[in-house]
Parts: sequence; C-alpha cells; structure tokens
Amino acid sequence: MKRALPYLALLVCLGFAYLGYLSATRIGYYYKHSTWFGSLGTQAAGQLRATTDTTLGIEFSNLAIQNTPLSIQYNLNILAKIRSQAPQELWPIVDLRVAKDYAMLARLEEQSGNLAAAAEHLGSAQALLRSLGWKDVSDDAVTKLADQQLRSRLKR
Amino acid sequence: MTRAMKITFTVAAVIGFVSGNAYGWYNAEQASGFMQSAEVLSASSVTSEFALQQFEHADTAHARQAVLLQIRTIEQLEQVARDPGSDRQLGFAYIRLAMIEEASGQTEAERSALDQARRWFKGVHPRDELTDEQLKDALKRWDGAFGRL
Repeated sequence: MKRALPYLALLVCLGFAYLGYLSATRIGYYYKHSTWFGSLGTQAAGQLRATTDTTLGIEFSNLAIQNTPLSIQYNLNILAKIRSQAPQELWPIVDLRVAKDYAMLARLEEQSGNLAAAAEHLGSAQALLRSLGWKDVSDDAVTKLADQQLRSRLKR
Repeated sequence: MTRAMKITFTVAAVIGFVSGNAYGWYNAEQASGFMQSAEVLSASSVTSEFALQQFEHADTAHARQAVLLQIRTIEQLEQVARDPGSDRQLGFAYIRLAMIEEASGQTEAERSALDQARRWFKGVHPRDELTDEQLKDALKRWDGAFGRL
C-alpha cells in the first residue's frame, strides 16, 4: 500500500481536477453568459441575450438541414423547441423557416408519390406564409420556393 | 488508513480540484467570448435575411415589422459590439424602410428613414452626399448581389 500511495494520490488528484474542470466550465460559462451585453442594463441585456440565443439556434438549424424528409422533420422539431423559448418578436423568423421546411417536405413527398402528405405539407406552408403577410402563396409560388431551398446548399 | 495517507489524499484532491477549476474558468471565458461573437453575427445576419425576404414577398405591414426588427437588433448590438459593417447594413435597412413607407404613401416617414440612411452611410462614404435616387439604386444593386450568393 505504501508503494502505491503516490500513484493513488495522483489518481485522486486527476479525478478531482476533472471534477473541478467540469464544474468550472459549466458554472463559468453560464455566469459569463448571464453578463453579456451588461452595459445595456439588466432588462435590455436580457432581451438581447434571448434574441441572440434564438438567432444562433436558427442559424445552426439552417446548417443542419439536408434534403431528406427525415432531416427536415427533425429540423421542424428543433424549430418548435427554439420557438417555444424565443422572444415573441422573433416568432415570425422561426415561422418563415418552418414554412420553407414544409414547402420542401411537400415537394419531396410529391416526388416520391405521396400526394396526400404533399398536399398536407403544402397547406401548412401556405398557412404560415399567409400569416407572415406573403402576397403570393399560390401552389406555384410555394413550389418555386421549395425548389430554391432544395437546390441551395446553404438554407437561408 | 494512516493519518499521513489521509493528509496526502486530501492535499492531492485539493490541488487537483483547484487546478482543474482554474483551467475550467479559463476555458469558460474563451468559450463565452467565442459564442458571444457568433451570436452577435447570427443576430445581425438572421434578422437582415428575414427583413430582405419579407421586403420582397410580404405586404407593407409585415415588411415594415421585419425591417424595424432588423434595425432595432443591429442598433442594440452596435451599442455593445461595434462592427464597421453595421453602418452599411443599417443604411440599407433604412432605405428599405423608406421604400416601404413610400409604397404606403407615408411621405414624412419615408423622408425621415432616408435621412437616417444618409446618416449611417456618412460613416462609409464621409465625402459623398447621396441623393434619394442614388440610395434606392444602391439598395437594388445590393439586394441583387445578395440574391446571387
């Protein structure tokens, strides 16, 4: 036991170092995050933090979308979560992304012959675009939007 | 366990925890700085992109709302993280707002928005006094270039 003592002590030291590292990174990050934009005052800084958290979430979700129904469906779930935590004034931004996802889903379902599902998704996209004040929400316009999105590697 | 062993383990634990903690704080600070920059960039680009699309496709009321959201967000970010590119972005946002006001017959609001646009472009082109038509033309060319990306 005496000969193993230094090794055991080293093991204890490394274990506690890892514990300290984990707790400090988490606590430290959340503390730092809570002080972002502090010069604006507590309320305005909090609102701006909520805004930037949401926009980064949207940006990441845009990067992750692939042209498959599964990926788009997954992205819709992510967007629902982002919207539930977002400030109300940013809901339209999330809604536009959701509308584009439904439009793409409709196009993909149509291409694979699932006409009923395609019509349902197209209807969802049109309803959202209408709520965003879009002037042309005809089938053709939404299909064009979907094709643009499907062609583009960078979804915006 | 002897007293010496207890002391050794306690000292090892304290040294480990304190050094891990210090490294963790350092990393948290780095990550926080990086994430803050990323969030500031995303706020500006996401609201600008949304404003552009609403300007192109939506009715006057919704387009105005989107452009005002972009302006509010970027102006707020300007107060905490000065970005030289923001002058141009705000200039174009105000031209867009002016065009929306023009379409809805709000001459006074259009004028005020164009004045704001001119003010922001002063930072980019300090010597030029741009006319209303030059400003609107610049926006069309800018949006055209952005659409081709």
